[in-house]
Amino acid sequence: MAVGSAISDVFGASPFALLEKHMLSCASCVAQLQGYFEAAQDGNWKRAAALQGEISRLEDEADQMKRDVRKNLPRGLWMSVSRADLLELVRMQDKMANDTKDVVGLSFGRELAFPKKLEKSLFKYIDSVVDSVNMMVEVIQATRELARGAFGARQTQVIMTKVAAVEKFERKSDDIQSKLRAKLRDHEEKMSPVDAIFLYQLLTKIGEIANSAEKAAHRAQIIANS
Amino acid sequence: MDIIASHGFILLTLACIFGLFMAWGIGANDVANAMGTSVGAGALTLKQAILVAAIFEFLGAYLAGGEVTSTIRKGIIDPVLLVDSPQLLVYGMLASLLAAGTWLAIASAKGWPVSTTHSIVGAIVGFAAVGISVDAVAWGKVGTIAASWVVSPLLSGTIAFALFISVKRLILDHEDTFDRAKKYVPAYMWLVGFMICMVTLLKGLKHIGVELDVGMESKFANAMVVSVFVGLGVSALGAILLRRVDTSGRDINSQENVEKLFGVLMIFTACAMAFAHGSNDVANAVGPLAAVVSTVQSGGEIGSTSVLPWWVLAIGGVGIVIGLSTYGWRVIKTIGRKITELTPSRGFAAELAAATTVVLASGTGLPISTTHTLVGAVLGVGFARGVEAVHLPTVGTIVTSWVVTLPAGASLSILFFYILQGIFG
Repeated sequence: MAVGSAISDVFGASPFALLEKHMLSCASCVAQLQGYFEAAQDGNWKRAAALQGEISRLEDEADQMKRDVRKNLPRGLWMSVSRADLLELVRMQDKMANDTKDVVGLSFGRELAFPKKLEKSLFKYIDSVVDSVNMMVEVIQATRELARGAFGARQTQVIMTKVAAVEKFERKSDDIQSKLRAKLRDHEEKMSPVDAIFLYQLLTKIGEIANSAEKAAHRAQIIANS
Repeated sequence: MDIIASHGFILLTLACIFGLFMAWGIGANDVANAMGTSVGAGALTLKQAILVAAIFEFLGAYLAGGEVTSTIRKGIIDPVLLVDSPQLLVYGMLASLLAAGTWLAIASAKGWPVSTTHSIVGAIVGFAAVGISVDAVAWGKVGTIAASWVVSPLLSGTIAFALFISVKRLILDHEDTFDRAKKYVPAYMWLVGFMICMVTLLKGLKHIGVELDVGMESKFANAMVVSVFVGLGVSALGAILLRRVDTSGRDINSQENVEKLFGVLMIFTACAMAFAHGSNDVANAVGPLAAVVSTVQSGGEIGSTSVLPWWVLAIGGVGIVIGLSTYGWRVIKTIGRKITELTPSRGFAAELAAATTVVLASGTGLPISTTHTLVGAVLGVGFARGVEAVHLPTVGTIVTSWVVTLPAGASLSILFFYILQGIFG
């Protein structure tokens, strides 16, 4: 006899558990940026290559988890949250890992490092971006608690606080980015114009990671308020 | 009349075997749906679940199973047409048991979510309408039963929704969740005790011939008073168990700790669920058996008002327990492993809602499907946003399978009916 049952098959897998796993994987990918740029600024391209490989691997892993999330969200699933919101959330989460891979690819391909004078601000910039992503992990964990708590007011409040923290880190990254751009402009004369253009691009790309974190946080906020 | 006189013993033996087989099937498969939620939520271990099921299924069958048994036994068929040929009723009921049992075995092998109730009702209506005459079916009653299959999931869904919303409002939405849960959970326990006691007193005890009188005017008022006190006893017991829950971690109000309190509540709702299931589904095996027994024992007199012999319900209870211990425990284990999404704070709401609905139906004598009622309750909790994801295609399959089960049970029972008629004449 088949040991299947009407009752157990009625339950779909919780999307939030998979979403959290995906977010954790994306965050660990983004966190590699710190090590990578330390190596790049030191001119240690061998170590940078190893880290690029690691980032690539983590990005692949995140992709796989993204597919798992999508696979477990069939149309026939009736959920306490909107399916479209969840799909958008996982897309934004995944974009953080994708952008990280692009940033590293751009820098490594041209063995591109920033001028020494910019180093301190650069690390502050990256820290702030990583902070925003780590805060986003907490947002997702809070969203899972929210689903477990059946969308109570208390859990919603926790999410609002954490979303505000993500926004704060994103604004901080933006501020540091504009300062970095100003400093980079002072160095333009002393470097190859092509390098300068790509450095500006790098700054933009790194900032986009924090932007994605913020967008993901806003999507979580929509879910919490729905 | 001659046939019953000459073959009475064989027919009786066959009825007992088929009835036991059907009860075994219910215990092997159906009970698991009722108990799986408690195991999945971690409120009961597998062993505890089997123990609870064995005791409360039996109690439910014995104390509150009489009304549904009598519906299956003599409510679906209008006996007037059978007065001259009582053997047809005996064949028909034997055929129905065999048909429902066979259909359940096929469905289980294929993994279809089929209801025992629908199989047996379909089978009885089938042999009566085709084997005897379309007028032999009490269509009014059958209509009521069919309507109850639509109403019961809706009702249990509504109750589950209300219960879970009340849990949210009273407990989950507050800062001091743990203290509030400790305060309100005994109230839900009271509800469990009150409800079970009410149905037992109003509908059950007359089958075992006990009358209760605490000096109130009506039977209802008497039952009310006793049930209130029994409920208080249950919640007092629950409160003691709640005090023994150990808390872990720094935050006493963590969901983990609060769920532990609901886990205690779920032990009580699991008992209620087993009781409810026993009170309703045992009749699927016992009802046809009872019809055969009363016809044979009265020497072919149809529709006798003789009381149901006590051992008939006992056969049902024993069959269920055997089914549970030989095969059902494995199904419970599997289901328990699969249902982890339904934490005790939701699981109790679903179980209590389903148990209440089923017990109400048992009291009214309506045979309904416990599984469908429970699925309705789960959806009700879902509407209160208590379930993260419900797989709707499965719900669709369940609805389809209950539509398919009626003609399937009917055709099989018609086939067996003619075979039996061919053998015995």
